Amino acid sequence: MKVNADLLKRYHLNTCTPEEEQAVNEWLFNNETDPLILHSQERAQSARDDMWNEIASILPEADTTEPPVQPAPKRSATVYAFWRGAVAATLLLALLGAAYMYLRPAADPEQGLQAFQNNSDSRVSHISAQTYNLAVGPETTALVDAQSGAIDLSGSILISPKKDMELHFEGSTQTIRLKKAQTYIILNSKSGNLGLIVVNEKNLINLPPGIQKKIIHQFGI
Amino acid sequence: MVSKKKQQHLLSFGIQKSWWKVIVWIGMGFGVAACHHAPDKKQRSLPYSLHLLDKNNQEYIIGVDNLDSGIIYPEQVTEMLPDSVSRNIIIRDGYYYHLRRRSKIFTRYQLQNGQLKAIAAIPLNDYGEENYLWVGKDSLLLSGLNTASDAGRYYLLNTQKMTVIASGAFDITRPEGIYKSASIGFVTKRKDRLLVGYTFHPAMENGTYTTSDTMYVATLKFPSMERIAVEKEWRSTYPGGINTIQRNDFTDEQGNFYFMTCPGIAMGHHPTAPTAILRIPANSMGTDKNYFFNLSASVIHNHAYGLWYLGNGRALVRAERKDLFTGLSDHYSVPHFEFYLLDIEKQQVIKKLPLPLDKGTRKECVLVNGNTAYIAVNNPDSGNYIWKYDIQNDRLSKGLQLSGVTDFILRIDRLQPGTR
Repeated sequence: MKVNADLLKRYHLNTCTPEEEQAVNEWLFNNETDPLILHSQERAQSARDDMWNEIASILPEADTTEPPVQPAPKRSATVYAFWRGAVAATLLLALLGAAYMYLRPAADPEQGLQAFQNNSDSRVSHISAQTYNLAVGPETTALVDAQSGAIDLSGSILISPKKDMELHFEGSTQTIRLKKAQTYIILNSKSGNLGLIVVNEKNLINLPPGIQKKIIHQFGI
Repeated sequence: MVSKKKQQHLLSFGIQKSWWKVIVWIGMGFGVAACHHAPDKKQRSLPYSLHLLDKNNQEYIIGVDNLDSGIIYPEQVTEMLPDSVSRNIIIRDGYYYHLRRRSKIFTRYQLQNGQLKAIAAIPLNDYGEENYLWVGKDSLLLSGLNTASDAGRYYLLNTQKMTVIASGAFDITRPEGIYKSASIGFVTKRKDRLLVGYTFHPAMENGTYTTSDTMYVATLKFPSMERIAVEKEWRSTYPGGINTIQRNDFTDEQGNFYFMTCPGIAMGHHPTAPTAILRIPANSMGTDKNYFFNLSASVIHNHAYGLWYLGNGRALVRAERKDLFTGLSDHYSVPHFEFYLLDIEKQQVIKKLPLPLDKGTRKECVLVNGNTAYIAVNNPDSGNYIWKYDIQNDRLSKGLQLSGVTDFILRIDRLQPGTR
């Protein structure tokens, strides 16, 4: 997402969407994600000029007769930062890779099946898979086939697909469509009086107040 | 504007290599702050406030001149609310009050240049919102539960100064045995007595959520909150609801207090109990045993959420249609709600209003102004309209249309004095 003057203004006014807010935060705090650092000097200068012009146009009393104060670029520092960052990123990737190999959930690669079990009565376990992020609620078991979208769930999960997904629940003929980058609360039980509940996290307020409180407390949302 | 904390955070993280970004940041902050603090010479007092939800789950608040006609595109007149502000808003005398769910910060806002601007804020510790009651011009009683939801708590606030006058625990029984949490469904005041309606819930586990078949009405001394009496009531359960989201009670011209029980799946989740209206007469501190307006057993034949008094013994109720939704997953998205006109005294359903089916599980969608009841209806086929119901002449007509990105009209409120 392109960070521009309009987005920054809305960020200050607290009117960004969560995605936009995240983009601005990344832009502010993460040098590696900033394309300007890797640009040639001319392109960086030009991009900065464009940005200043864009900002000057929305500032109420900007004095356009004087050039804006700009930092003198320090090329050596930038190159050093780039290499330092690259080495750090490589090490981090290697570490993450090793951690994944060690910690990944039990999987059947042929079936694309993943089984999750959380026996704790209060703790939530968080899992990042190729196509979704998952938080598995207390006392929950879930069997997920990412290829076919079949889920056998008993308990509660919070799922954020990384691409649009279609899910089929064991014991239900319904097809549930989930949109990428949204978070869904899914409750299911073979016993009890609730049955299958699938709602976008943003629609949590529509569930009975007692269920809302339980989910908020359980997942810390 | 840029908070000091945010600036420090920024400076500590970004100054080494991205200090130009910080300059941009601070410059932007000053620019925005300058725009924001500009004197609002043409500030007008708009009489009504609308709270909308769009198709991407973004919310908007719009001050409007009238609800009788016209068309509004929310995206053209205001900006989206930040995620921290939701529909659980209390509105009075031109100010908005909102409790943030996560941070428990209670904030006073005002509309300035069409945008909601925070005026003052105070933290309310260990408090979950259930109900509010104005006990004076600037005195707001917030009644709710502790974070564990097993004990009644209250805050009495001065909203002008945004200070806490008193806070503490309600002297009401805590859940015992299989019951682990409580719901406070209504709070009303009579001189130096407070009537508090509540019930209990077992732990939600093994796919089960429900409410006790018993509800309670406690009489407390105000403002000490000491208990004087508690009445048990078995005729229905889950009294009232959460009145920052939707009303389920009213007091008539004679001082009789009426509340609706909400045992349907969207509130108490004890659907075998009936949705009913009960009465606490003006001269009594307990429910009238000869009065029980059973809506589920009437021609409505369904559960309901949302009750509004029209005056002269008439009320509107918003009832679900269980044949049109499958469960909690589609209860809010499918249009299935109907509005019925009730004769409160005779305990009779007068008629169903000929409105399109409405969607949204809970909405503060009715506002009464003299002889007119404004009713917000969201129907994907017929659009989003504020309908005008002429109470005396029993006539319905379309009023203000909400277009553009509007998906739900979550609230209609009176923004200026004269509110109920």
